[in-house]
Amino acid sequence: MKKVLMLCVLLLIFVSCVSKPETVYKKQQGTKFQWYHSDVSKEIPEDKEVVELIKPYKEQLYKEMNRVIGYAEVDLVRGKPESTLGNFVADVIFDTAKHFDKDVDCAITNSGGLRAPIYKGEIRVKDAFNLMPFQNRIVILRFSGKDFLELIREIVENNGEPVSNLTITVNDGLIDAYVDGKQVEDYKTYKVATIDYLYKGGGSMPAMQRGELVKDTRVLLREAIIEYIKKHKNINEKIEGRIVLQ
Amino acid sequence: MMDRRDFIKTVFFLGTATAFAGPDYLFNKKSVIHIFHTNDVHSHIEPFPLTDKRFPGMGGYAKRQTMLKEFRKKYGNILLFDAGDVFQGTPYFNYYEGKLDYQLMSKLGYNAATLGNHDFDNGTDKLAEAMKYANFSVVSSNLNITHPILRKKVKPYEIYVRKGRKIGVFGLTVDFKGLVTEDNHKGVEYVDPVSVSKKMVEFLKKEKGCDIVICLSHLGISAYKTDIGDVELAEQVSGIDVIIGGHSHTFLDGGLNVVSKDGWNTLITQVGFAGVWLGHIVIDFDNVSKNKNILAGKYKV
Repeated sequence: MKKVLMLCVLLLIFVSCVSKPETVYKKQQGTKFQWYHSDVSKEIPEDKEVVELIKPYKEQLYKEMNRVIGYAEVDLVRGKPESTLGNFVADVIFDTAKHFDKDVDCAITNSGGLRAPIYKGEIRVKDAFNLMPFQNRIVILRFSGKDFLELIREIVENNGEPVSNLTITVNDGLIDAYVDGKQVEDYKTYKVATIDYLYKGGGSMPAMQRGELVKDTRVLLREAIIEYIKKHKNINEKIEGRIVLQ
Repeated sequence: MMDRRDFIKTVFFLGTATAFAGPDYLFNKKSVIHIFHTNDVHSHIEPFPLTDKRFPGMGGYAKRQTMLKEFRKKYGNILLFDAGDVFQGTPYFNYYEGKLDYQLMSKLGYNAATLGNHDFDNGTDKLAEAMKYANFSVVSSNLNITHPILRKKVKPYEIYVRKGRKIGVFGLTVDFKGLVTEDNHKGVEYVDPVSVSKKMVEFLKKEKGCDIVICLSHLGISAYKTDIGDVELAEQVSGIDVIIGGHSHTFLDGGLNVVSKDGWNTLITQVGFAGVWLGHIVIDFDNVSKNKNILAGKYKV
């Protein structure tokens, strides 16, 4: 053990790997720059005091992250045009937004933002963190029927994105979209729940930026997912034809 | 890998730099000042798992402390800075709201840190709450602060004396637009960094008699989606010796030398993110000619 420590110290003292020594020299300034970089190896021992300081926080956090909050009755996995994981997250957004505005018509999010699946079995807090590591918030936007249809066209172009309370079918290149079983009309307005990331132009649904911000719920999507699982306990999602392409 | 000659050259250079680091700088021709730095640590309290593709086993406060202890033994009174975005990135931040991060930075002996956009992620009240755990200086010069607690805690500059030389440090925070929501920066407003930096350099050099001026910048290395970055700043503002940068998560191989419109040389450094590297700057100050030789490098953590 002591030998390893000594070796590490030696490694620290003697720069073990140096690359690209360069010098820039400017006479009138008298300033000379040089640089190097050193790879001291990953064998550096951890400082005991710091490890002790972190320990109680770490233990509490790991306990919290491993807390079981519900049960997945099926594998929740990502996929196109429709997926169990996508349906689940879109339902969470729709359900949460409903608490803030009863008139919300549907929810849309992006498949690319769902970072990890939840497999059949116990669901832990850490699963929600892995699924949604970002600080995305749920927002409610209002669209003209025309812009909403453009958004739906983009969803089709993307080969489908997670939606809730909205069905999209494509037949012979013609798009049919329904909210609550009623066909989407270009003269109506629609309230769509989504995440701030898409509203700000992230993802690949630029039409999302055409929405008018009606409500920033300030609820983190991850928090909403955790609350939804706690409330429903058993999560069951199936492919039910929300998006049918051809 | 380097060849043998490079190795000897570097060891020789570091060796000579250390030889001048004695306490009798008054009788010495040179003052050698060692500065270490991090940026965008993003709540990476522990090292990355060994299975991580990019940074297997790298980073973490405990390993950084081991290295810093060695450097303190070797170089004496070092300076340790952070260029912002200490917060956000792991569940540690979601659960402890930055208190653990600032506590650990205090433990490691950080001298100062600037504020990044993510340090505002829980709003100004929570930031002020976390700052109770910070016994280092929080420095940002381009913020107009009305928040009662932050107003007292955040300083526009800080001056350190090492080896008989005065080192003036000021900080810059990136524009909140599109990065921090209005209610999260309540009581704190962004001010254009160029005019502020010019004033700070003038003030630190002329009024405070600083020999070395360092800027802790969370502007990002270049103007990307913003009006100004470190390179643009160094071009427009003369007199900054080193910009310790952040925000853009840039892995620089040592540093970038930018010459201002008046011919002033500024060294820009940045060590990626998550604390996987520890930046090192050696300022070799000639007490007679007032010339500076600046060496910048980094250590893998």
